[in-house]
Formats: sequence, structure tokens, C-alpha cells
Amino acid sequence: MDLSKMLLTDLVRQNPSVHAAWYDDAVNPSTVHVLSSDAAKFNPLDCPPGLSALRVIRHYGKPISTLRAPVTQARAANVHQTCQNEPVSAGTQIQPQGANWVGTAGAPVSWTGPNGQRCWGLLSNWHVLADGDERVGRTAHQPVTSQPAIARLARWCGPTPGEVNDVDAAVADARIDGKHTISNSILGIGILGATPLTATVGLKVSKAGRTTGVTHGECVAVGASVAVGYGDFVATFEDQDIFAGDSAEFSAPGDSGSMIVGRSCRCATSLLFAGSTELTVGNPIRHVARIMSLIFPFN
Amino acid sequence: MCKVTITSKNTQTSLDFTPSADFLNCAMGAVLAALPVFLQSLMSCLTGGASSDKYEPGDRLRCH
Repeated sequence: MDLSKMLLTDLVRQNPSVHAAWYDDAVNPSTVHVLSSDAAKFNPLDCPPGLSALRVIRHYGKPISTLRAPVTQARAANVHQTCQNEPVSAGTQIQPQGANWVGTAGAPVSWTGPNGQRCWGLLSNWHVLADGDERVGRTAHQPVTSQPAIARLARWCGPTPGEVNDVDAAVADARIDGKHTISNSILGIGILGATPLTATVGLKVSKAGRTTGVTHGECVAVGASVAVGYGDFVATFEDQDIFAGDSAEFSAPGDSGSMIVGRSCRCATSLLFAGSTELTVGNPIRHVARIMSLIFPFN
Repeated sequence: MCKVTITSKNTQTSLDFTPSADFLNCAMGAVLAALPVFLQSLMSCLTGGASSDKYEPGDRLRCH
């Protein structure tokens, strides 16, 4: 158990006006950064005792929430929202069976199935692929449910309110009628690098998402504790990556599920699942890979 | 079941493979049991069907 991470998480959980907190240096922290939408409601003296020796820098920021889009916004406005013939590239819009929202099929991935067999499919979020009907075999359609399914829900890990969470992730098996519906690349980005890449502050990144398409940005924090709104509840996540866009916003509702990649190597870095108009939050790929039993490279 | 008898003596060991009386039936049974697997593999090769542990991207026109 990492005491320094626990202190950040306690800070977020105990202060409703604090949306995220992170250290300047995960190993030898001297400063803690606090993102709050109401600075007046947050007093640095409210910090847990273990943080009181550190300098506190307050940032103004809006609440953070998941980034799926209502289905009413599902009309195709860019190539990432249109129907793709097989093999379907990731970075495109998907809608699960019975859902009134859309999200992004983030990346082609491979994993070890329950019987030890190798599976190929797509990676997205729990709140995109599974929420409301967590069932193996639930179909995911591209771009909307009026088109044929491209994958079936296979494995997921969603947040639990009141607990500290790692990931909001799900994988769907793309094997339909004997062949795989998906390609090995992400639209506008290309084939992923062979190995994943751990984010570091200052890392230049890109992502392809259903709403904002291909955007570029930079990692501004790692190891952050974040409070994320899910509509009905708020979930706390620990050890998360935070990104900001280079010039425009890095993500918007509908981009949930996108894979954030290191720009130079196109290596999987973080699974986009939440954000505000200023910041984007991703689950570090090492947590996603461990929990989903992902195999790199894809094939 | 096919039977194999192994006999051992003090300093000298001899192996005596004695086919059981229904050896031919046993062998034929083994061949028949393996036949479906062989035919399945053969058909998969002939038709280009997907194996269970290989990434094979599809090529269907799914957008209408």
C-alpha cells in the first residue's frame, strides 16, 4: 500500500470541491497540486496531516466526468463517426446494444481468454461497453445499433462507489462468424507500437476519438487521485494520468474509450475515460493491461 | 483398451509386446476417433476457414 497515494486519495475523498490532486514528483514530493472548482471551499490546512509539510498549489478547474455522448449526438459529423467496412479501424464510434449513448472503440487489443485461448478485439471503457447491462456477449455496434455488431462484450472492470478504483475498462471480442471484424490500426494514428509506454510528465501524446477526432496534447500529471462523476455517483480513482491539449481541447463527450498514445512511437499509454473542458484523465495502460490480461503486440 | 505386457526377470529384462485379441478393433477405433479432427483440419485448409487461435481480419462490406 502506497501511503503517499493514499494521502492524495483521502484529500480528494474528503473535500467535495477538490476534483484531482497530484504531486510534482512521485518519488520525492515537495509540492501537491490541487484542482478545485471552488478555491474558497478548499483550505490547504484541510489537507491530511501527511501532506501538511508540502507546499500546496491550487488550480482552478471544473468537475471531471465520464466522456460518453448521448445518442442524440450520434449523427455522423466526421470520419470517426461514420460506418466502417471490415476490417474496422479503432478510433471510431461504437454503440452497445440497448444503450442510449455512444463512445469510442479505442484500440485493437489481444488478451488471454478464460480457457487460456488468445482473443482479439477492441478496448474501450466499462461505461461505454458494459454499463447498464454487464453481460458477456452483449454486442457493440459501429457506429450505431442499426448497423451489424462488430464485437461482443468479453471482460470488464468498472468503478465501485466508495472504494478506490484503478480502471474503467472493458474488452469486446471481435470474432464474428469466424473472422475478426477489426483491423490492427487506429484511424488517423496507425498501427500501435509493439510495447506500451508509461506516461511521464511532458510526454507528447495523441489520441483518436469519436467526437474530436485526432488531437494532440501533453501529459501534465501522473499518479493523480481523481474524483469522476458518473451521473448517479462519484467514483474515486488513484494513480491516474492527466493530459491537456496542445491548443484546443484534447477530448470531449463521446471520446471515452480512446487510446492515448505516445506521439513518437504510437505506443499505448493511457485509456481515456474522463475529463472536463480543460483536462483529460486516462487509466495508465499498465493497470489496464494487468486487469484485462492484455497481450502486446497485437499480433 | 490396447494391452501391452511387460515381463521382467532377475538380471534379464525382456519386453513382450503382446497385442490383445481385439487389437485390430482397437486400432480401427483410434483411427475412427481421430477422423473428425483430421477432416475438420482438412476442411479448414480447403475452405480458408479461421482457426481458433489466430488473428484473421474480415473483409465484409457491412455498411449499407
